[in-house]
Amino acid sequence: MNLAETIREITLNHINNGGVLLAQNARDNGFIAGTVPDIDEGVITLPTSDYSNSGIVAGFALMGRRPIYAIRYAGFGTANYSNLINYMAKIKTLCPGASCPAFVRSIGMEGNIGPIASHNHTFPAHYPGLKVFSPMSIWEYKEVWRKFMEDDDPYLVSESRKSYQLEDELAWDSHVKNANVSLFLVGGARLAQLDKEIHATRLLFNIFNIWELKPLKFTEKSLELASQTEFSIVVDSDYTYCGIADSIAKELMLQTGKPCYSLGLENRVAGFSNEADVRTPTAQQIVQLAESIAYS
Amino acid sequence: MLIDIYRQAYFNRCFELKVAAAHKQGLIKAPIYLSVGTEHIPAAIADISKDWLIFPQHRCHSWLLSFGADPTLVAKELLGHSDGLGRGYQGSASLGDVKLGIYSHDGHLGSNLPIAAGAAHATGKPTIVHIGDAACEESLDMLGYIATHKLPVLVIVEDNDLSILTKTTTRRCWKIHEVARSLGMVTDDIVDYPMGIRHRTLACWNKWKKGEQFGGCLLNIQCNRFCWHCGNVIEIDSHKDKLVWLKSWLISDWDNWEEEEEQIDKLQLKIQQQVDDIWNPLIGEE
Repeated sequence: MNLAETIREITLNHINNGGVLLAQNARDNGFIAGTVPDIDEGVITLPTSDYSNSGIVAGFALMGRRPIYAIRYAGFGTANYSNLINYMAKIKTLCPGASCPAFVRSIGMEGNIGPIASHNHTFPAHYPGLKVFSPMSIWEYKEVWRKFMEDDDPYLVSESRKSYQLEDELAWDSHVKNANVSLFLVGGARLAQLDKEIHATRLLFNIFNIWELKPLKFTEKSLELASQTEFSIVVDSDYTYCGIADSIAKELMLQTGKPCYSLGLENRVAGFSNEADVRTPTAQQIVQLAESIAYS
Repeated sequence: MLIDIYRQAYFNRCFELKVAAAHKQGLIKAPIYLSVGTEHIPAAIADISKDWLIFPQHRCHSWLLSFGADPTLVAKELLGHSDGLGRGYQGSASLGDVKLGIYSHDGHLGSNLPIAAGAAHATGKPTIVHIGDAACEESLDMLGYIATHKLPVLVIVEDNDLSILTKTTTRRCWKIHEVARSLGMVTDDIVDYPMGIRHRTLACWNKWKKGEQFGGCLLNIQCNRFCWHCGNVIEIDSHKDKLVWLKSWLISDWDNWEEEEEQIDKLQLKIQQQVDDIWNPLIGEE
């Protein structure tokens, strides 16, 4: 079973227990990358009204239906997040007895989507009252779901279409003796560790995966080992400027006492052509940055 | 019937005047959005049922009071007390009380419409959206959603023809009830006479209670706001004031109008005393 099938199974079980899934084009065969179960009851097709749709989801959440909301392109989040950050995230504080636990899936691509760019988990993470995760493996996804079902906060779950075919787990703490650099990989950028090119350098990398973005969680071991390397690099599939990668890098610097850099989407408008596209950093780009810092 | 509406509307009016006075004295620091001029709208429908889900926006004090919120808790909230209705988070604009099915607004104009639509869709419960004539410009797509899914949603537009000071005709060339009707909702455009509001609301409620499904309702109510958009300045025009109108309608026997008016004056004094009893201990007045 791969990740897409796992998501489909989780969704089906949820619907069978009174939950609901809402999305644009929810019933279009395979449109949301095969993550939607093939049933009618409990799957609600929303209109093409990105701003308002998240309000509908908030209403379902407010009434205790624990909706799953799939935003089919993460770039659409800028329109969809309004009711997530302004209403769902605030209502528990604002109105005693009310809460909006919704599982908002923001589905990113690693490029090839033009001006609506790629992942979009930094923007909602600025705001208080919601939690942000970026699971890339089956175990992580199930773990996020388990946490959600025990929680009454809204969750923003940043996904990568490229991860949907994964069947194997991604190692969390992959460390080597005498490593020079610690890489902290976030979101779609985590898939770079599967590329052999990541090891095509004389530098030795520790590779750590971060999927609990807000509240931010490092493993003890990663902090200990990162403090023994020359520097760290946080690699993300979202923009770094004022972004999660920069925040994680700052936190790492404070906790390890070592320099920490960030790498993510280039801060320019993306287009569709190969030259104009803004893509998640590749293994080669990560190696390039690490070498430029190490040998400067 | 009318006497009950009058009693609640007059209570709301006295309450609002107290809020304005407390704001003027600097006892309320947060911005206030008074409902002076529209107090009778929720008062006219509140006794139809307490089973609505209600999604008000700012200018909602009278909605909370009419639908059963504890006026002392509302007063404390407006004064910023930590034991107020929303522990000091709701202020004037975002009042809500989940126990009564009234959900706070987040302050973004029009956001209550999609949220209410979702809540109605999720539960099938009759739902009221209280919205202004400007805020309703934000979420027109949701009128279509309500109609498409035949949701039991009543959208009450308090239409004072102003967005702060900008008139409707400056902002748009269309009418909200006509747009809603074109999308499949049952709509009406009425002047804010209490019984008209009540009859139309009751008609919706009865249909939903019988299990009838239709594309939701939108009631555009032409009303008057006798206060500035925000703050404590109040300018009541008695010719347009529906409380004055209601009082005159309460006099059923014009041969004995003086006696009947005296009875109403006594009722007013009693209500004023009730409101004073709520506010005065909180603001340190005798």
